[in-house]
Amino acid sequence: MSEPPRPASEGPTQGPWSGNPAQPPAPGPGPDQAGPAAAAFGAPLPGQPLPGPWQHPGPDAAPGTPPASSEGVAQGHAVPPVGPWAPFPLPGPLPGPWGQNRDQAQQPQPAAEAAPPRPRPAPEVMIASTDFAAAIAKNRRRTYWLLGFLTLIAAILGWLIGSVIDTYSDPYARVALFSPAGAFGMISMAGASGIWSGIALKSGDRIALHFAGAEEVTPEQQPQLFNVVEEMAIAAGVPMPRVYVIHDETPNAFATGMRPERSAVAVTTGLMHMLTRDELQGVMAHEVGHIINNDIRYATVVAVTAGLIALVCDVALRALRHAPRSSGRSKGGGNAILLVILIVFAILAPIAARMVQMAISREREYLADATAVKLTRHPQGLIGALQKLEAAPVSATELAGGRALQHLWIVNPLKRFGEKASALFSTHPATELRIERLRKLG
Amino acid sequence: MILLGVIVVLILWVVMAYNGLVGGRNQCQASWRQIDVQLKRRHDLVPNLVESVKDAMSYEQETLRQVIEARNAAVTAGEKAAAGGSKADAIAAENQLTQVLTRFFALSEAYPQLRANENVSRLMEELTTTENRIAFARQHYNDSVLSYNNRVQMFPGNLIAGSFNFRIEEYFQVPEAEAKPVKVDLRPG
Repeated sequence: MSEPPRPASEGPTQGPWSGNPAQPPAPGPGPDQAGPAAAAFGAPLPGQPLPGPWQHPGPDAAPGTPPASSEGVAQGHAVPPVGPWAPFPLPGPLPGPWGQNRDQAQQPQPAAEAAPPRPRPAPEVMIASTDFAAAIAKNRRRTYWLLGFLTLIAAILGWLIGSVIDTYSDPYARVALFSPAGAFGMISMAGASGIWSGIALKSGDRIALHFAGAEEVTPEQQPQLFNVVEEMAIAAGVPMPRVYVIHDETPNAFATGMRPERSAVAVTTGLMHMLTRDELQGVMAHEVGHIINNDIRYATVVAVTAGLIALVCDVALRALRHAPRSSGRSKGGGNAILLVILIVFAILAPIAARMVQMAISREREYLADATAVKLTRHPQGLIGALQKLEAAPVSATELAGGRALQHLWIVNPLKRFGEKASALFSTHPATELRIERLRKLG
Repeated sequence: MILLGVIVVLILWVVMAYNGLVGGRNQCQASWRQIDVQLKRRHDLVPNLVESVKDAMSYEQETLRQVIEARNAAVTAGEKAAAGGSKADAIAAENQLTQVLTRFFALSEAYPQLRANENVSRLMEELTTTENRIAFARQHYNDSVLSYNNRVQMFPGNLIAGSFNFRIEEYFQVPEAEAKPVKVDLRPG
């Protein structure tokens, strides 16, 4: 992803509602640069009509309302919901959370350098599948497919083991596709997975926070962090999660909790120092997205199933190694083939299960990103945060519990993903890929 | 026997669809209340804020007066609406307050000494979050209305909705001034 050149003098443009006193609105010459700055000082905005399909008449075009001067702040946010990527009748433009347009300048505008200014990058956002609702639905579907695939692996494994045990205990049995033993094997796998998942879902909740050395904070200690989290909880319509801080300069964050009512978010102090309010909001929206999408539960069930597959395969391989060979030799070819299939499967299944597990994890990251956009209607915040996280130096010391909890964090704490980002065994998609998808949403 | 099964399934479906509609309607009402909660928060906050900045912003008495007036108008309109008055008036008054506050906040940018004051900067953060909360509460309300209205209007749910008199909910709408598209800043970087 090539970054457009950045004037050295300017950081992210600060809107008036940024709540960040350190950075005044960046003044800029030229009419195309007057956006946030002009809005900040109450200059009347030229009522620039948007061309093309994103011109949204809006059900709320209340006639007679005088065009007020300083609405740029709210409007900066009002644009995304009416964009061309909203194929369903969105409830009209919403007054945006204020101070959210300050990163407009960071918005990727491929056409910006060459072409005359345009309000929105037009062509690529015309595709219906890039709007967040469609993106969310698509990610969900993919997760279901992957879950189905994982279940299939477990079922085949159960069937194979059941069949092998069956044929070995009864030398005269024929290899049948639907033998009772195979079915029994399948059911035992399903049952074991269910019971283990249930136990993991009941407990396992708080462990992550202890692992990471997170400390619960009060609104008085971290007012802005609390406010940002509460804003996102309101946007998602869920109870306020508890808020934890990890004293670590590595910028990162995670969410945990099996149910929205009993969830928690944790951020490192490094993250808070590094990000603007908008960016922090984007990160928190991502974490609340994990909560409302029940990702912690998903991850638990998937990890349990993948772990069970690995365990059973391991046991099966060990058992076969020590199995008495004499009885096996004399049997028909069908049984031998079955045995070979089982061995091959037992070797491959754990790898496949792990790959599926990681694929699900990556899909859920994309899903949480898309959900974050649904909540904030402002992809730039999360994009900016991801860029900063990506650029952050890898800390020499690992985050506490970084390895064990790597799937939970907003960016993988262990390694930076470069080109081989979509490597089959990584918990997170490459940050560039996430940013790219987010840009398509915006 | 088959007929009985069909009837049972049908009844189950009616019950589930009905409950879903009730849940959706309640969700809409709850998220509407959330907007009210946040508006109340704003009403309580504004006098404090104006009080704490009025010395530093002595050249902006006009704006401060407008802020207080708009706030008082919004409180009055809200009370009237709660007593059965026009909801539209209350919404208009709140929108007016939003606009005035936007201007006020923009002006306050010109007073760096304000930002240095810890008390003021805390109140500014409170105001920022309150404005955000109002916006997000409206957004959530509209999301809830969207999903509820889909249930009411889509087949076959509309059969149930029609026979039990579920009506579509109104979206929260913002005035034209707020809804106008923003002029996007195209600076690279």
